Amino acid sequence: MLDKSIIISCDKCPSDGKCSSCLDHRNYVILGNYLIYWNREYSDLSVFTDQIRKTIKVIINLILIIFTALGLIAIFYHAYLLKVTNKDLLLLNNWQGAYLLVFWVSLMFAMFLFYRLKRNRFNFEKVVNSNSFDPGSISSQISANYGVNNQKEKLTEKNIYDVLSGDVKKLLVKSWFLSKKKGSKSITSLHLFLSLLKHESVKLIFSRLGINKDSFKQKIERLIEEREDIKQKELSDFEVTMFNAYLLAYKSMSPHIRINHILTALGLSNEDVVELFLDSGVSVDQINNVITWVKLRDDLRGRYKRYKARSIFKPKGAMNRSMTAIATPFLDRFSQDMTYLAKMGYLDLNVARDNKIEEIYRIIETDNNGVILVGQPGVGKDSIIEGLANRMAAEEVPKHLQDKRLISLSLSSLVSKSSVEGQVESNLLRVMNEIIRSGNIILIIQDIHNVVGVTSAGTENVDLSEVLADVIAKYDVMIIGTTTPNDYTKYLERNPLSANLLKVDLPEPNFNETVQILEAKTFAIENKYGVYFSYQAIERIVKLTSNYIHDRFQPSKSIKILEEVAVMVRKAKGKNHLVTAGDVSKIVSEKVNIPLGEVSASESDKLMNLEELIHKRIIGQHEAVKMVSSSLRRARAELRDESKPITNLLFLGPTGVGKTELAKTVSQIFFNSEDSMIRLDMSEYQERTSIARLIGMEGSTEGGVLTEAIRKNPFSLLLLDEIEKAHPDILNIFLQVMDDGRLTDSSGRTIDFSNCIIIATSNAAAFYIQDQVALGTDLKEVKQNLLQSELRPYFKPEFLNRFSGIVLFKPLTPKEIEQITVLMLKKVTKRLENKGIHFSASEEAIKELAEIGFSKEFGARPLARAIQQRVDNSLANFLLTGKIGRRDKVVLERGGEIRIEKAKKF
Amino acid sequence: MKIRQGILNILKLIFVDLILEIIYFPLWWYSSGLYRTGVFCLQQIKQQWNNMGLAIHFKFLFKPMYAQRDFAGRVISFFARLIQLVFKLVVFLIFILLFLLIFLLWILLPIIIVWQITINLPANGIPYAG
Repeated sequence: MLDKSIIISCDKCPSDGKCSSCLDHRNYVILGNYLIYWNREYSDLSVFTDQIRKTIKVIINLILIIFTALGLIAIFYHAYLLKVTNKDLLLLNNWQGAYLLVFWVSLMFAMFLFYRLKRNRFNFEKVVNSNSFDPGSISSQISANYGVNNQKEKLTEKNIYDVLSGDVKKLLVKSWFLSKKKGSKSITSLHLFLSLLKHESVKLIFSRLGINKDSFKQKIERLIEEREDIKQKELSDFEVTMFNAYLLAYKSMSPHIRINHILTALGLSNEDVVELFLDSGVSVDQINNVITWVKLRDDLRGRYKRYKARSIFKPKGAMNRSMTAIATPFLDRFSQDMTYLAKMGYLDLNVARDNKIEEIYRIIETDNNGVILVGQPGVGKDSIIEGLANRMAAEEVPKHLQDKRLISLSLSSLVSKSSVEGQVESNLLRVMNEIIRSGNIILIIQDIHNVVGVTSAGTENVDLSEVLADVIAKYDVMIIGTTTPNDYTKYLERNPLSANLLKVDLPEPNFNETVQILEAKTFAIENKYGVYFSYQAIERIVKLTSNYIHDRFQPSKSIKILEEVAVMVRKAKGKNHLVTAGDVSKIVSEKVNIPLGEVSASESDKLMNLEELIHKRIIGQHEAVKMVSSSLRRARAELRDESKPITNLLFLGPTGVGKTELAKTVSQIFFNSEDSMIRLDMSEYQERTSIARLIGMEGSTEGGVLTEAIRKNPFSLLLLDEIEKAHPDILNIFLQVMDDGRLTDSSGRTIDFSNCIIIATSNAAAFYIQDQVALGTDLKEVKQNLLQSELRPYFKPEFLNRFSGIVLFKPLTPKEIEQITVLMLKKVTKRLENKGIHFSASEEAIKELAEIGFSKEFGARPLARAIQQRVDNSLANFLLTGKIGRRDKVVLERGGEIRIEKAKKF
Repeated sequence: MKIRQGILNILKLIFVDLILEIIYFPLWWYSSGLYRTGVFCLQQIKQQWNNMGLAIHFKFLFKPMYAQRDFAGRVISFFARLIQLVFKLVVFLIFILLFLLIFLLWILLPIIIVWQITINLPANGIPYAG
């Protein structure tokens, strides 16, 4: 915020005598009409003076208190004497004498004490008030280029030291002692920082940031020693810190500079401090946010107390203070009194939603009959209503809402308690009648779309919503309804109700707001479970839930994770433990089934050796494996663009060379299971009409094959087999998916593809690839030709462009087929091992199988058939006739012969 | 030697401070202190006005109670409200007097003290009680 250039260092100061251009302050900042400077020497004498001053002050106060007490004793003793001597207590003449003299003198002392205490409280210098100018644009008020002389108006000088809070003054004395102990001539910002660490509120902030204080302390001590040699500059870091602290206090409109300001200022003015924090994974912004968090707790507590105190005057029952209302026994049967609940303190305080409540006020203050809050489930519609109830109970609302009750009508009980034909309507009318007569009720109808289409019988055509709309329009009944965006468009948009109620959109809170809401929730959760949240954990929750949980909404999805993590940490580590970002990653990662959070050593090993791992299942195709591996590494290191799918790959090549197998392997490695692969045979989507199958039929509630699969399992590998066979319009759909990572299905839901790996395979131009490879053309050239000409008939250039990698699968060589044979025979070995039989194959047998199985056109497919015919069939015969038993050795020989080495019998 | 000089200086400073403070005391009492006390009393009275809901009572004096909008209802509620209002006003008046008293006491207390101290001085020869 503050760069050192706005601190003006006077260059005209003469070596001795007064300087008129800086008023002898040397370094200063000009803020509006004020000249802010720092002047405070720390020496043995000054610190000693301060302490003596303080002690004497306390002594004087003590003496005054003693005198006051003495006076009281004197007057009571005088009364006692009067009583004993049977003199009249009420006679003024009896109230004279030496004791009275003591009393009156002591009363004077008491007044003096009062004056001392009060005057000290009021006469403290305060940080310049920013009311007169806009605190947002400090830079415009700081006139860096002007000297004192250039100012048109007279400047008021302000010493920063005068506005330090008591805590900070103590801190500075401590830092001074520390600097003396370390053999330094003056306080540096590092000394300040070191002594700051011992402060209670800073300890709290550090534990919230998850910083280990002791190691931090050691690092600072080491730094102090290293930095000792550097000569003190004209403008010391320490002074810059104080200037910064002043500006921070000014900006936050705080009358004094407090410990928090010093901490943040240190983070702004000393590079060492910033580095220290960054080393522990903490940024200056995070420190600020934690400070706000700590403040939030006090704010909420203050607000709770204020609401509680102010709501004493709110009547409990149906009656308002002006006594114009009536009792509403019928309404009470179907409803809940929110203002009463608020008065009793049952409702949560709401955070970060002030602007929406203001919007509701605005609408109500105009001539509207109310509002409909439209928001997804879990975005905080109820919490806004609770916030409103709290404010109404405390009467901190505009006139229209004062002295009113907020009543929540339960539609379900209204409907369920109406059994006779036409009773719902008549019950509603009775309820509305009470509301109209009473005149002090604001009605809440949650899920107001439910009134549309409700009738108690088939005979009438008037439905409940029309009855309600009619009443609202005729009599000034104020209604606040809630609904979801879908239901609003579906039921309410063309309903007479929406003509009378204004729509208030309630979007999901943004990142910062969600963090604030979570912070407010932590206090109760921490109390309940006895664990503590680090700030990073909170941030992580919001980040991960936003990125990975898409079927629910903020802040409710974050709050759920918040509680779950607390429970998990409580169970795993016990009470009084810190919930870290790692714990959060663990729980979200379990939920969504993909690895998140810090990469562990074993996982890092795995990632760095991905190629080898994949090659255990895939023979050859080095280029393809490399491309896939590096894209997975990018995804895991969180370097990818998070609004797009993890990666989009196109596998090109003839059949049977391992395209599908590679996709399966990737799914196994990245999502831990082959089942996380969604496979679509695009040959089934050759017609234009099959789009409906993919994204769902218009007007039907069932989703499409593709959209439903991804919605239910957003973390998966989407394999589009033989993509060239799909209808071109379907390819256009995938254009968008690959580019934006999202797709809207037929019912209007947006499906998120950003956690998918999309792999398309294609046999297009397979012959061309085979021929070119056979001719020995360079692969790069082959690829070039493919893109430029050979793939043209199949795909549009913009489609090919969307892939982050187009991978050529080469036809397999005889050597590779041999390796594949070994792999496939291993599978046979494994199957037989389950039966306790050892299987092996001689080298000639393997070679022979490879020769039989090899085919230029079909890749490794014939090999599988060959193994089935030659090996599996004979083995099956042997097994069925009982010729092979447990512990026998079976060897496959040349010519498909099977040799059995019988094991010894027990 | 130097330190002793320093300490002496400090004590001198503190002594001067104290003297100045004592001189300023009566000035403060009748300026800033008086103002603050006045504001305090006014705030308390205003608070009481709000707490007792007197504004509401005035505003709704002619409005029928319990939604009884017929003629009889209106008449009855007018008188009911009037009685209530009078009663509340009396309480409020007592409250005003109380704070007025506090304010007056603030003004008069120094004078009373000086007066009482002078008449109670031993020189005036008033005997001890009892």
